[in-house]
Amino acid sequence: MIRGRRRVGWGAWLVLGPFFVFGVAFEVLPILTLVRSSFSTEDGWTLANFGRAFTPMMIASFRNSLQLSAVTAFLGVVGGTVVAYAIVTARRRFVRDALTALADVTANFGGAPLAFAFIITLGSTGVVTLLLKAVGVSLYPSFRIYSVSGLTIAYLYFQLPLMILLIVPALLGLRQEWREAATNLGATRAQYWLRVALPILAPSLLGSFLLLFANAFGAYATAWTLTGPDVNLVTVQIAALVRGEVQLDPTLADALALVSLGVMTACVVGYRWLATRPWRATP
Amino acid sequence: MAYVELKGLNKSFAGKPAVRDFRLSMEKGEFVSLLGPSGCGKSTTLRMVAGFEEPDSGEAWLGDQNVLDLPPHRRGMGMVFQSYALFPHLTAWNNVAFGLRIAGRPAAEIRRRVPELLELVGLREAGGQYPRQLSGGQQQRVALARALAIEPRVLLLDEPLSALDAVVRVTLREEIRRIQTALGITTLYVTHDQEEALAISDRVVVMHDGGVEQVGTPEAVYAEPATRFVATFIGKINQLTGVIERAAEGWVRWGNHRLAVPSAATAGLADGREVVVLVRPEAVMVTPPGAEGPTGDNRVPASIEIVTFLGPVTRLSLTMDGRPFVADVTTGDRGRFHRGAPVQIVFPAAACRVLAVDRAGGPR
Repeated sequence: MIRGRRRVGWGAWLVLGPFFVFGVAFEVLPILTLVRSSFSTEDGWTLANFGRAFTPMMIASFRNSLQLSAVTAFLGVVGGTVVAYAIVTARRRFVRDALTALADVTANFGGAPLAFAFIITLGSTGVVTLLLKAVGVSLYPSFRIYSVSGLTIAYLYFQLPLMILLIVPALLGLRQEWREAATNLGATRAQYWLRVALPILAPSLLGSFLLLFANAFGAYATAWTLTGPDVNLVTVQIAALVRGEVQLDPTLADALALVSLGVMTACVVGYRWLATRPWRATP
Repeated sequence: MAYVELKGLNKSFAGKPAVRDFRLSMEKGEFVSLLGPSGCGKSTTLRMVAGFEEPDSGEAWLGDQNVLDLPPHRRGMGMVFQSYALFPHLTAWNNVAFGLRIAGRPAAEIRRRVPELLELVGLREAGGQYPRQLSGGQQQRVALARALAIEPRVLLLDEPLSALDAVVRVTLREEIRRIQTALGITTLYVTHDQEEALAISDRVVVMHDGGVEQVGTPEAVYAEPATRFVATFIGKINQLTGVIERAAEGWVRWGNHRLAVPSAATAGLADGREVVVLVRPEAVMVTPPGAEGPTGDNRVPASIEIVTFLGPVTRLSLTMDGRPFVADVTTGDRGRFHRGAPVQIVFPAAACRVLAVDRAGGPR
């Protein structure tokens, strides 16, 4: 007898149960609450919260967040790809494994500890700042770690290794025969990269860009610890509205969060679509 | 002067020789196959010619130029890979056009040439399809068209059919031969499939352990194997180890039997020298015990152990004085042969090939 789809037994559901409960409690319910809150006031359903979410100040926060995310994602993609290529072409396996492990650790190193690390190295009295000053190079006042450019450097600390982890499998999927075939057909090294390797890698590169973009867009702790309210980002605005330091307005914060959720969802959907492109390089 | 001349190519990997003193001359338009088991150095040889491996020593002449001094794309070689190596983001049409575009050919020429090449490989209608939408056989046809597009002086094919199923392999190998003959392109072909090599080649180079065992026409390599390796690698063969009884008469003592072999095959060998007599199964007749036949034939009593149906022929596995022997009979006669039946095997002296066993104990 030909059996159809395999039935999942009660034992499997029991094991999966806690994960479903966890997912519902910490993913589904908060989103539903967010949706309800952002579309309602004490008087009932409304779009007024979104009207207030697009004041010049809030629009500026979105612009800053989008710019910071785009710049750090772009730099992360370019720099991470170059470093990842160096890793996958390293002759010694030990070097490859060690660098990949380092990327794994640093990709997950963010938030307040990362901000403090940058303050004590590149802050106005940081180690590197003082060492450079001792040899006659003054970073300050033309550079400030407590600014958007400082934030860009801090974000790159986790964006680069994340890109390395994302792109290494795709680089390993570039088949040696493609390079040899291109070479045999007359392509130079540059032509091989422009006409073969990069188009094949394009879905992975674009998908990784979207993930890095989402990663930066949702970052809060690093930005707040490093720059406080000096840099106007969406996540900083949401936190301020919830904490009520200047103005307590949780429904406006929910509306901002829902718009941010839309941006993040678009990134993830785009990434998933690109990840299923049939010509992408897979190891 | 040969069109392609490979002289003393050597290559080692981590101190282990992969190719040893490879030498080959090819005439223009010739189809030569490198045949051998996995790891014998045939692909490495091809890759050295293509420019993807640098030989430790040797020369590769194409016409009056040693191409080892040139980068791969300046050698005038078109390469077809085992795994097709089609660019997955390009359609079949654009894969074929790739080399032409790189060469900066005019768009009008590309628009004319690509359909011609797709037509040549029987895929005119598939130009708009991506590699993933094509079967393995179709992909390899596109790869062949792509390699031919740059009008190479020599076509190199590295096990192009090994990833395909049996039926497609046979069809495509005939296609490759047809196209090669039509274009008159000099071709070096790597395969581990002896039937494939014998079927499509003008000459076959049998390789083993990085060295050349024999170079010859398919008929010569099959009928007159130069070494025991060639004899056993190409087709089924019986190996009867004995000693020269009288070299001048062409007699070999094999157990209790005296075998007659061509006297030319034993010329120069001392009486008492250990030899291996090689006999192809299809050269053997199986008759009832004691049946008469032409004088000079070898006749040995045997018994049938196994009868194996192989389609047009039936293979009889026999024992002669406890030693195994195989004979092929036409399947129409298979009803005459039964397991355990006593028979007489008959093979003419002319069907025997003799190889001397060298002092190290291995026949050459």
